[in-house]
Amino acid sequence: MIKNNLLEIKNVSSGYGSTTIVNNFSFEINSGEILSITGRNGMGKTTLLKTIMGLIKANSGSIYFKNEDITKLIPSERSMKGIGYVPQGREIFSSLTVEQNIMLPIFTRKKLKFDVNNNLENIYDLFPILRDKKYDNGASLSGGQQQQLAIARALIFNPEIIILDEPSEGIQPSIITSIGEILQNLSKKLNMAFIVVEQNISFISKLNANCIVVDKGNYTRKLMALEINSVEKARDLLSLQT
Amino acid sequence: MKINIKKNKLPILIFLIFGIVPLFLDSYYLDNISYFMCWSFISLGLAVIWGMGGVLSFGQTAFFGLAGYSFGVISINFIGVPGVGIWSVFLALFITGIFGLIVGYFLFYGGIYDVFVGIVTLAITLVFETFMQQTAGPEYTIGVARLNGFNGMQGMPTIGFQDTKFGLVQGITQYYFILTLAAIILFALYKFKNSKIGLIFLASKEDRDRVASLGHNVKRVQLIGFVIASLLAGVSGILYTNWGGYITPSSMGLVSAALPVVWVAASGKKDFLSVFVGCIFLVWLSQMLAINGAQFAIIAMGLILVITTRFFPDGLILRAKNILINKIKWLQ
Amino acid sequence: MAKILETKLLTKKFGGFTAVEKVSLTVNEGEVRFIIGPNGAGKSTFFKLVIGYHTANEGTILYKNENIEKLKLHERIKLGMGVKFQAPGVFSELTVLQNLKLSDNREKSFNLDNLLSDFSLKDEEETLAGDLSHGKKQWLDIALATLSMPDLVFLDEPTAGLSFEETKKTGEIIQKLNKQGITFIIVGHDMDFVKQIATRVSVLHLGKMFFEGSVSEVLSDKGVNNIYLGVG
Repeated sequence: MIKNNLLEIKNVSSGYGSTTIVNNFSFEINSGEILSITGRNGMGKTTLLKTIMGLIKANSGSIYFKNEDITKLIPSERSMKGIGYVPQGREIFSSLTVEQNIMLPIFTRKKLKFDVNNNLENIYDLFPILRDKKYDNGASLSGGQQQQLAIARALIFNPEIIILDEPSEGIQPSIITSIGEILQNLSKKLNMAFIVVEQNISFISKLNANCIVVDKGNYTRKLMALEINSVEKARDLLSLQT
Repeated sequence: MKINIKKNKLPILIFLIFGIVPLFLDSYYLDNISYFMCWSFISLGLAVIWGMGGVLSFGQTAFFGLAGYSFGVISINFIGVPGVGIWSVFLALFITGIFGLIVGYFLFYGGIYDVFVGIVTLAITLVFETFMQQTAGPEYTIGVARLNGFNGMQGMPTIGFQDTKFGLVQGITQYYFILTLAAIILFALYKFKNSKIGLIFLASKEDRDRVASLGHNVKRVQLIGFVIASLLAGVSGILYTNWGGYITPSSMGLVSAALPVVWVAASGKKDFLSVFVGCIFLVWLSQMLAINGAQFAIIAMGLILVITTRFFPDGLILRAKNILINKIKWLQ
Repeated sequence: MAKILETKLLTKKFGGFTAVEKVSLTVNEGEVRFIIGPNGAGKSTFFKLVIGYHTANEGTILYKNENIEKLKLHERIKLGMGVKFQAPGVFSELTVLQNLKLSDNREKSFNLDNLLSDFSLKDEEETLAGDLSHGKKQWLDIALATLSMPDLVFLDEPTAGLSFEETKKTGEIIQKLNKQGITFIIVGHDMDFVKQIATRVSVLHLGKMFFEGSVSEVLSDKGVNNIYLGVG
């Protein structure tokens, strides 16, 4: 039976050296779906994302993207397949300008089926401060602005799924709200899927998405969007895990 | 692969081996090993400023040459004066240290960092070499000591207690003198590395601003490390001059400036013992290869640098050392 | 209440861009002052001006009523300041214990064992800081800023990447240190965190001082909501 999941993680274990951090992890996500992942620090959330991206090798298990086994592919190959990644800590290129940062993924992609400039304008509409600073060096942006840039950079090549590691970190409240709205917008309009690792419970509750809880590298439970659609409910259910 | 360097008994073993070697080798080989050991100090100095401090300096050979020439000039001018074989050494080191202080001051307090330190120090070394090359004329004399240009300076007395048989640093005395000096300096360097200043110096390699934000004067600490490195280079310079009885400008040329970098990089710049052993080994190797032509040895050194950087970035000798310590339990 | 920090018309320009403009701010001893504002408002730059990482173009900085503009960064720190930058500031290639040894720059310091327990680093003394999880790195970074019993501590986004519970715990640690005499100036975006521990809040916008008041005053101000808090 061929499943129709966009991305499927099947019994994946990974870690550093001989230490296993992510343990027999399985989940799926479909196009247009938003999935949040939460859990205390040190529980393996970032390791899980890095494994999906290929930055860390999976010791066992498989990863399927559009039914293709990508477990052995290197990160750049996974990116080319249509997976975008916004790492924790931004990691934007300080000596490139804002616009160069955003356009970087385009330089390696030859046949584009969409209008890049259109995308660029849309991105600038979402993050107006990036338009203001488009010719400034990445280093001259404040921390929160760099975070916005990191997200923008993942959006430019219209990936089918974007993986974000703590995107709300360091961002002012009003923009956190708009990022949540942007994700929901893009998932509806472009059928983009999002995996969001977050600790910001208020942000998670507003995403209107299901939430997986990670504890000690294990998949412990999945909460439905309805169960956590208010900050109070989310806090009740999610803080118990921390 | 992170290498955690813990305390072990290897240094003791190494020095023991070096200590009993004279029982089995005749003076020709001993003198050779003495020669190899002369170079270990300039390498250790580079291990301090580069391995610990993260500052790649090509100036070590400048201080090597400066110390050698200073020692030569002073000792030649005062031949016969009591104690000259001892105080000329200290005076030469003092002069070297002052220059280390001046150069270091302009580097760190002038805000020169990273790759520019290498460029500036290399320039200083080459300027010094170029100047000394053209001092062949008789007008280039300090006191009675002729600098002698590219021919090099000769005629300095042997260091040590003059007019004694075993008090002169030559032959077997030289061997044990250098060996003991190396042991003392290695011990002192370990102490430095584990001291508060050593820690500040080490951390400055990773994040200067954070270190300053913890209340430490980074420039001052880096200057201290630089002066230590220059003094160690000076020790090599003086011992080398003493060993061969001469010092030439070519000891400060481009190749000479690059060799310590190769030795230190290939040995494992973060570990003093590896640098000590590695340097001796590589100088010996160069000598063996030079039998087939001097250029052959230099090419080999270049190849070693390329191979180590690609496959053993932490250092060949350090990697071997760690494997040895892990396998042989009683060394731990 | 004694003034511990006072800035007058502090200004910083980077080329043609004015990052901080005529900011006058007074913090009294014992406060837990928050500086909030939109991304790029100049909060981190303001911090860096006060501790001496940047040199101001105009204005004065008084620390315990003394002018400190001529002092370099490490000299100001030695006067009794502690700082944690927004970017990660632990030394990855050194152990936790070595990291903490580095922050010992005055004769006095808090008890190391207690500090290690408070920051949940008790069994990690020999762990390389680079191997710590993100949350523990943040706590180590804060510990570095506070170990030597400073009088004034600047924290730039101390709860970035911390979970809800960890954020609460960080707040408790800060309050505990505050009761022991440390004044805090904190930049942060987590309003729950602000509500938990702030005694007063200053709001920066486009490099200028925008609003200042108690927590409730700031949260209810229309202008602040407009530029920063949003509908959320």
